[in-house]
Amino acid sequence: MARPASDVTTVRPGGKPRPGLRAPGAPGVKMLISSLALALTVAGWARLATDRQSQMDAEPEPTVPAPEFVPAAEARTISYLVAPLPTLVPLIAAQDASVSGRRQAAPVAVSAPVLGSMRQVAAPPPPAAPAPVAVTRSSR
Amino acid sequence: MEAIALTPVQTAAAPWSLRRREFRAMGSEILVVLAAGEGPRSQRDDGADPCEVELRLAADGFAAWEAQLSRFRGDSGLARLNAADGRRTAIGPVLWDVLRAALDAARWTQGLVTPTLLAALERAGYDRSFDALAAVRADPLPWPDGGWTSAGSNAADGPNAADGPTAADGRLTAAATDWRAIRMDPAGRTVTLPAGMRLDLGGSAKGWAADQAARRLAATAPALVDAGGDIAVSGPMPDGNRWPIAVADPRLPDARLAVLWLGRGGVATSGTDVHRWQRDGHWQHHIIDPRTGAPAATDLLSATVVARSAVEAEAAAKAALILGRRAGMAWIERHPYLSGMLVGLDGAVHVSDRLARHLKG
Repeated sequence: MARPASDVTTVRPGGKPRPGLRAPGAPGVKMLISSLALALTVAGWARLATDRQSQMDAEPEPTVPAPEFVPAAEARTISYLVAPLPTLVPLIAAQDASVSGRRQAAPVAVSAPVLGSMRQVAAPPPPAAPAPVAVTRSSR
Repeated sequence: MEAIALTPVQTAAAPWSLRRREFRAMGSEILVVLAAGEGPRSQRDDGADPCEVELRLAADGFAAWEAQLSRFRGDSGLARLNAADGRRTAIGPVLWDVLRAALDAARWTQGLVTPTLLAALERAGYDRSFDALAAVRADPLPWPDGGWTSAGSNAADGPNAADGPTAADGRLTAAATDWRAIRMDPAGRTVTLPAGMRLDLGGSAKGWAADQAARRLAATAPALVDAGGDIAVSGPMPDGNRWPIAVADPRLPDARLAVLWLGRGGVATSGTDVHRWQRDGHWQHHIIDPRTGAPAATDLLSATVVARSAVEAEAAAKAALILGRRAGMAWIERHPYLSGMLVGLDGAVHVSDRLARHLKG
């Protein structure tokens, strides 16, 4: 089947496109290619975003672990058992009194260690008062 | 009724439990409790449990005391004394002790609590036991609007008019109610009442009985004896703790006002919340004011007092109730061995300064 003439681009070497036919010159091809490239880029980014959202939807949100209650016999007040943070130790080289141009070493931040498990101890309920042995009341 | 062992209390020293027995005597519910150890059950030759024996003896004791002290029994020692009409009468040791305790209370309360008001009680309508009264009246009873009012001169015209010397307005003369006129001869253990005087020991008998029972039971184990709300405690429980004793709320049935902790002594409550009735359009109750010869026109619903013994607490509670809120609290505060809680007719609760020591376990 013959292709419609509008789909045929006939370019004769050195010749001009035949009138009536869409004969892409150099600027038209470049534009097409640029458009295609742009479209592909946008589509790609969109898909990437979609995929990322899907991935995020599939993952459960991190939750704060529930506090661990310590039996009443072990604790009576609220206390947080947390590993102490190490102090930052700036590594600063002593600077000569005379300006020697030596660069002062930048303080090195020590990364905080991973905190130990945090145990939140709630105050236990007060022990139940013993039941009265007798009741004083008007004679009856 | 069989003694019931409650949940054993385990301590580092030795396990022990509360052994209790409940029965009815002196027109009231009686509770006897022993804080007894869980060791070998029997140290008796007959193999019986000493605690069971003592609890049963306590019940027998109350029955014997009631037989001597009840004015509702025609063959009691008190009934015979009341029927003597001024003659010198020999009485038994139980009646002698209780009468002495009653006169001590009269002296201590300056006559507010006196055993000489039987005629006034009968005139007010308290002419039968509490059990019989409960069968006659209809429950629930409304509260008296505007407080208590005296029956006044109409009382003498009622169906239960008192015998004995009465003044023109129906009230008893001072001679017939003056406790100082009673003569007690310890040599022969005889008593002489002024003519027309008849005695009621309701203001002292239960407290005295609770003290006696607690003292006897203490030889076996720490004991608590509750005689119709008049409570005696012989000493702390084996773990050293004091006894927790609830104070009934007179405003609400089955409700509790507070918990008192008592290691030794007594606590009692006097109130107008239970025994009350209408007569000639006037509200009556069983707490007679000797100054008027009629039910006390008090602004209090109840008075609870902690004292050195149950008989002392019983007298103090009654005196405070008769005096009313202000004078009653002032009277309690004047005695360093007393502490109290007063509930007004308006529902307000007033606590003496020294009661705080009994509110913590």
